[in-house]
Amino acid sequence: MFQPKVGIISVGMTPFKARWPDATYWRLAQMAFADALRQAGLNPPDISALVWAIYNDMFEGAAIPESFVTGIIGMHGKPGIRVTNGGATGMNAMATAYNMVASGMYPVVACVGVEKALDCYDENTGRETPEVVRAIGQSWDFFQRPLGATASSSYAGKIQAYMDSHPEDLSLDARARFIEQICKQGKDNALAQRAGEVVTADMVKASRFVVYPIRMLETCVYSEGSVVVVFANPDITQQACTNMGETPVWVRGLGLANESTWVGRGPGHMKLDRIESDCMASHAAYEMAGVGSADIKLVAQHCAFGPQGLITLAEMGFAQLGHAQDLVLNGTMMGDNPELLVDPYGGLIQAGHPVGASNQMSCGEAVRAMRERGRNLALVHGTGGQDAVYTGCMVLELGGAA
Amino acid sequence: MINPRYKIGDPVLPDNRNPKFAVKIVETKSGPVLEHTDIFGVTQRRSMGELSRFMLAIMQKGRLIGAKCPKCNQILVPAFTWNCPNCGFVEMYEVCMPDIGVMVATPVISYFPPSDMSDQVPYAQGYVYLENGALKATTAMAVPLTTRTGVIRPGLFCKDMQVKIIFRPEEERIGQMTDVAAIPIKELTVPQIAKSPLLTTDIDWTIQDQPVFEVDSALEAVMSSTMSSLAAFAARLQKSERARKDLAGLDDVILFHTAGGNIILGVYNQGLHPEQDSEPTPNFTAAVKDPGFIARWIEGSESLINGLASSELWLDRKEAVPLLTALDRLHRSMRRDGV
Repeated sequence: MFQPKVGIISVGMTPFKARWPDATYWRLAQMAFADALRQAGLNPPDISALVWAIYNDMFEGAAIPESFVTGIIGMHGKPGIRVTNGGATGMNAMATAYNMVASGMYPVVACVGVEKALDCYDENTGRETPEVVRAIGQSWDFFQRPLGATASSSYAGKIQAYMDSHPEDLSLDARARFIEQICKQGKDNALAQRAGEVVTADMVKASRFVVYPIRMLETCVYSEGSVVVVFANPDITQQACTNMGETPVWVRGLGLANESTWVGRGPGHMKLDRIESDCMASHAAYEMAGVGSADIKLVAQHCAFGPQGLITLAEMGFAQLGHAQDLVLNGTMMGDNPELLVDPYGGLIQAGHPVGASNQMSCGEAVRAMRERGRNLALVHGTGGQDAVYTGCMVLELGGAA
Repeated sequence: MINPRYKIGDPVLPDNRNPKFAVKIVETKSGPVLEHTDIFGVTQRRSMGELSRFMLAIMQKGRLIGAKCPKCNQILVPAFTWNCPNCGFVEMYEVCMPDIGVMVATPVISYFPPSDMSDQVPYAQGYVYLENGALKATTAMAVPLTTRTGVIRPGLFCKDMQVKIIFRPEEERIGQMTDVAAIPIKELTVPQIAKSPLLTTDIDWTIQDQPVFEVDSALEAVMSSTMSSLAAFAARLQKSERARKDLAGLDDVILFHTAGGNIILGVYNQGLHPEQDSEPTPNFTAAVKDPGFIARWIEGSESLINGLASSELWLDRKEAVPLLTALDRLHRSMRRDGV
């Protein structure tokens, strides 16, 4: 019998918006923190420690940005650790929170993800996104930064290299239908940045290239928002869930993997046509959980770009490499009640991508879908960094524990 | 070829990226909000440290070098470390590398740029394994890509294609990867392939000629309906606040030359102003044989940028790419506004 060490007792979240002009990241974090505590019937003194997930100081407009929020959320005197790992910031922060609870040192740890990206502003175009893209480009190495490398070009490079190796996979039709399905699942998500927006496969096909071979409607949207996930030891989890009338959700497996950023053809170097960190982290999580990918019917993944999401699903074992599009074409993840439910409320594509908080949002999607859609096991995934070198995965179980 | 962000003596923060300080009071649903124009960054004299050796070889000598491990024999290019991470950090030694190699994968092409690259789109970068015979780099070098055949576009480069690394003239080199670029070997002459370093000034950068179309009477009918659709589209977009915002600040006129006749499209005053074969004078020229391409764009089933990528649409200057991007943005904005 699985003996849980850590449970998730609540996930608090602000709406994701293209911009919150009337709130700083201080206020956003406070809103999500208050929401998480309200759901669990907790007060700030009940939280033993914090883990901060904030990707990029430039977005917040402050170095050590987390420090100012401690007092605002009533955590004076409590420990707090900041984690930053590119797009996988949230997942690495949740892994840290898990370990703080699992060690027995802290009974209840809140993982606070927050990002305020869209204060970035390009006066020349009158738009936020070009400056957001430039800021993220500062995360690239000394060699690539002058070349205009961006998150989009980085993922596009992986996708194109994968398609070179597997020319029969990732047809435009399959990619477009994948996006249509994800957006359909997220259309009624009231907290999503693109709530209500309908996206069809034909719209995806007709949308312009952002970075060839990725089209605009295959990309996620940068957002502002905050998500707080509260982790606790088994006793407190059971008690809180009893009080809430909810079935507990346990963290059953956890895996992390980073790759070298240097593309090469020998040991210790990155393979451009793979996202090996997705494979390594997911399988480490499966091993810890004592499950395989076949046991998992719900995935809340970090799908920053549609084709990358399909490659990631293959790397995580839901399809063979070279056959990722089969998940779409054979209907495995399609329809109202698919065999494999992926990004049940729209994921990063439809809900949005406030970088440090995105993986916690995915965690929230998984917890909600497990309870609402009757899926007992879920895989939560986060990735990021230059050429997607960081990955973290978490296997969750609904109930089932002793 | 990607240009360096700065030439020696340029301001690091150029005037067009150095906004004037402003204080605004913005009305929001929850009341007035104060906004300050600000910047979050620091000026630096950034040392390239151990990376200097590799960059100085390019900058001062027009040479490419690698770091070779005496134990495992791997060759790192670029030389990003001089202590082998696979062999107990043993000291590596310098080897001269060839200026030819192969593409690791089909490269990507950026159409939506970061704010400081807006004048460079479309631009391409890719990974190259430097190799010549038995001398092969273990790691790949990220480089800008260039072509003699006009605006960079898909299909010019592919995985395993042989390329040559060309160098800017010494007086233009600044010790960044923009000092070099990869060009397909097949675009060079035999003497050019043999020369090392081959400079950008050694190459005749021919400009792709504008395509010329015979007038096709069948397409003239398509043109007529396209013009009607374009006028209706222009009127409809005025009802979309998002679409009007997409066009804010634009003051351009683009000529679309087709086999069914010409379309002159003014993009100014936050609107579209279509004309057929008349004034005003365009500042950009595009060519597309089938006017139905424009009709499909109006319907939202085609993209101007994608036409450029597929070579269906020819453009006289790549400076028009941001305009095409703004035009491609209109359909989604109108949908979101229910127009």
